[in-house]
Amino acid sequence: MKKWERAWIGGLAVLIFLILWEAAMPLGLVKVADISRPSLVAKAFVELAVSGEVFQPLVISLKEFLVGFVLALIVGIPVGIVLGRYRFFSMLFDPLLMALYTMPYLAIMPLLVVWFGVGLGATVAVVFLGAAFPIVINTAVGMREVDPVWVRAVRSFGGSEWDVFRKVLLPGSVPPMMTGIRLGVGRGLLGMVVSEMYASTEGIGGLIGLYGNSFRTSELIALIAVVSVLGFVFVDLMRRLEGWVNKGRAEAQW
Amino acid sequence: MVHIDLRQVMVTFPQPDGGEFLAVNSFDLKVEKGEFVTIVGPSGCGKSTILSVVDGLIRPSGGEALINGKPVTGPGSDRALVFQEFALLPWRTVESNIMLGLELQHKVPRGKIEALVSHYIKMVGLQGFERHHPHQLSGGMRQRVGIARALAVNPEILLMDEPFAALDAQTREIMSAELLRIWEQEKKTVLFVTHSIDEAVYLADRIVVLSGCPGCVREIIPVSLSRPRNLEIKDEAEFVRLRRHIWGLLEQEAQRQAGGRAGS
Repeated sequence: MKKWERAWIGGLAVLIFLILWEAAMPLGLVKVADISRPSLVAKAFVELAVSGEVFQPLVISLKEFLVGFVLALIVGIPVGIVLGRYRFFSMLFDPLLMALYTMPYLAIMPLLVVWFGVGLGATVAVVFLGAAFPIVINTAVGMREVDPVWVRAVRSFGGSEWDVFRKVLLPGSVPPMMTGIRLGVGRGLLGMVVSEMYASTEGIGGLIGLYGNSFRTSELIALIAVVSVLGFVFVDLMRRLEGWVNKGRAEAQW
Repeated sequence: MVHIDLRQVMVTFPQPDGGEFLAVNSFDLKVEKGEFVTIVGPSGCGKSTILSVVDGLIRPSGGEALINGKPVTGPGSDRALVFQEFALLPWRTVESNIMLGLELQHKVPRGKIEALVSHYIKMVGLQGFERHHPHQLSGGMRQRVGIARALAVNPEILLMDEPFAALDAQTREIMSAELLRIWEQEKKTVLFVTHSIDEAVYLADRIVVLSGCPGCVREIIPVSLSRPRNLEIKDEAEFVRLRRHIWGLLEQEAQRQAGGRAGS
């Protein structure tokens, strides 16, 4: 009941937004090149799909994103675990990590192009940089914020350090880890689009750059929507993966 | 037969300023096998620290802790701890929380674990809640899980660290009656730490009353109330007399704490 109510109210807001948007141009409030209209965006989307123009770039983008993001997971989670677990390493690396995290990582694009070459390399590197930091930092936070009484419970049953790690620290730090992964998806996608726009001119970002520069607003918005959907799909996939890793785990409301 | 033997146990914790904090000073206690001993005292008198020493989570800085005549070197399967904060793993179901100790002790085969778990779920009255998660349970039910988890490893000694302190007054009464019912069946040696004088008298064979100086025993009081006990026993003259006597021992300290700093 509550759930339906939520969807209904939220859906209504979206609908009103779309109607206002659709009506803005006929009412003479704006020019079509400024904000387009939902109907034109939908038409552009269908045309892009039917012509197949969007598919090859989509495959390229997916490949770049997945390689960078999976690398970020493979590197980020273990590094986060070590930093969260060992005070020495966190003291050693925290300042550096925070500096790198707050650095506008997109600004080093030109350097990445020099290091990794135009195309796949640079984009993978940007996705990796964008995604890895929130994953490392939130995994470390998760390890540190595990309730010490859970650790005492495992110890009191004679559990070893390894037991503490696998029975408490690892499962206990999953919620913050997931937060990091979600942030990582967003930052990774942003990096992917920007890199493709400015460095490789391939992929979805390349198309966005192309249509953006020629002020074809409807196509531009349709393509941005494609990236949004990608982000949504990835976050949802990660959530499913989490559920699969911890079968029977309670929803994150503890 | 002496089961737990604490001799001149002293515990100090290092302080950030380099000094040392004395948590327990020269504590002596002998607990017989199958005996139910409660420890009652003001905040900060070292009650919980004593339990941690018996459990083996904390090494005494002085004196010794013996179980069946052997010194405690660390946690062992002959002891299990029940926590004030329940200490359940929130991502695990009731069932799988109760399994925790059995899993960690590696000796019990899988099929046996399931039989044990369902036995103890029945004992603490949680049938029908096997697949629930802790956040779906009331405080009283959560502590039933905590108790079942401790009993499941079949310890000789049950260590209970203010297990009912986080519960409301009525639930607390019911849980202590439940605990006695279970204890009558299982006949473990129990060391039970509490703030509540009522609880201390109601449960115990002997009550250890501590004073404010860390781990100083004011008095050890035998309780002659007959068993099995029910909650009506709290109206009996002997119960009322014991309660008044212990309050007399603790009042001065309690007044000071109530005025100076809030106890926890």
